[in-house]
Amino acid sequence: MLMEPKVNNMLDRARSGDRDAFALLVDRYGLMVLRTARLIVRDPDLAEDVCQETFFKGWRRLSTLRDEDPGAWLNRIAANEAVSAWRRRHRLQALRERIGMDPGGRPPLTPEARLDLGRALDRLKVDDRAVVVLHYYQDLSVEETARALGIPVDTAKSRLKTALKRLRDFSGAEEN
Amino acid sequence: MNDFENDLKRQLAREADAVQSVPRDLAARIAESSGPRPALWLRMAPIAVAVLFVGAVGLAMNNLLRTPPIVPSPAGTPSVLASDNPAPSPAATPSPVGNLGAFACGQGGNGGRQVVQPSADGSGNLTAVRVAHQAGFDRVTFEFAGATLPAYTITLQATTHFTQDASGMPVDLRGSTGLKVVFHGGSEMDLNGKKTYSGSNDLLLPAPSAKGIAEVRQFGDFERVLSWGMGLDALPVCTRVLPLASPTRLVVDVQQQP
Repeated sequence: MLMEPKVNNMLDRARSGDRDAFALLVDRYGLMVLRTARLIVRDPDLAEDVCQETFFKGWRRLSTLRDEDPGAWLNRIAANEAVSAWRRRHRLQALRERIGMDPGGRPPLTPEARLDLGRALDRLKVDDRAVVVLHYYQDLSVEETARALGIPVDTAKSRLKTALKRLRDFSGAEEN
Repeated sequence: MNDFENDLKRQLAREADAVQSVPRDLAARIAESSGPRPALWLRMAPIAVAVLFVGAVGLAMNNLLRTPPIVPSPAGTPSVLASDNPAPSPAATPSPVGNLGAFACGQGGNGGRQVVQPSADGSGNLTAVRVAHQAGFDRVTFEFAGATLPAYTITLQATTHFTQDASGMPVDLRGSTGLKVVFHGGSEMDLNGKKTYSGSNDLLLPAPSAKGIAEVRQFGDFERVLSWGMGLDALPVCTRVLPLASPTRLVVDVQQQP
């Protein structure tokens, strides 16, 4: 992938240990990373922790970044770090989801208790939410989403389908 | 993309737009955490440590598989059985085997004995007797219920002739020399009269390629004095006695002779 000479230059300097150059990368991509994290973990403090960890890992792994766009690369780290951080913070719920005791939270709501889409997103499983964020916010294709999260394409498709159904159920939206 | 998906996209964009900037303290924290990048050798250090660790574990597992799993008893230390008056013999030099202690050798004869009192309690109920050929030695294991091993006496004798406790009937075992093991306060029954050992009281070993233990037999369980005898093919008799814990055992090793 072609990158702006300016970005390339920043990366080269950062790779050689130039912290000022790395600070420029943080300036450039920090908000994007923080937003991705915030959309997945749904918690401002936790999102900041994810952002910090993402750049820390990015700094450590800079030498592995070759032709990929640094923004996409950092986003990928951020999405995975967000899922992991959410699981660490919500161990019990994550365990219930994994063993199938909590398939997406709760049963469909009554018409009186319909949620807005934001609150419906809060109630998705974190794995499903990560797929939704990468696909609908980052505009990644299903294949790119799967690659970013390290999951099979079929799994990404299935999560996307499940997430949309639950969001409709939670928010009371009609099937088109 | 349908209307619902468009709504979803707008919702996500609205939420993202609500985050206007990276807080200054977060930017400071990131700058702080991205300290000088470690040198290459330091970045490779965890891999080197992992490789060393895997190697060490592999080596340890290999040793474990080669060595019988034993736990030295806190009540007593591994000991060797030696005749009081061992006859001079080229084989009379203790020969170390692993880290379990050395074998002590003798030609056999009356009076070769060792008494060990491993616990003040001095009682125990036998639950198992096992005999096995190992590389270089034969092993008899007496296993007891509970945490204490009864006091025991081990006597080397010139023949395989033993006397049945209480009845006085003669018992002759296979082999050429004998080893008598008596547990004082030991029994195959608990204090309620219930059998704790249900195995055989006469264990014959298949003829090994090297000479060691030929037969192991119980010849007395009376008034909580439990007696077992061993008929041995090996001469000179080189033995090693190991009181072990978890579970409570007394192990008697007899070095095989060609």
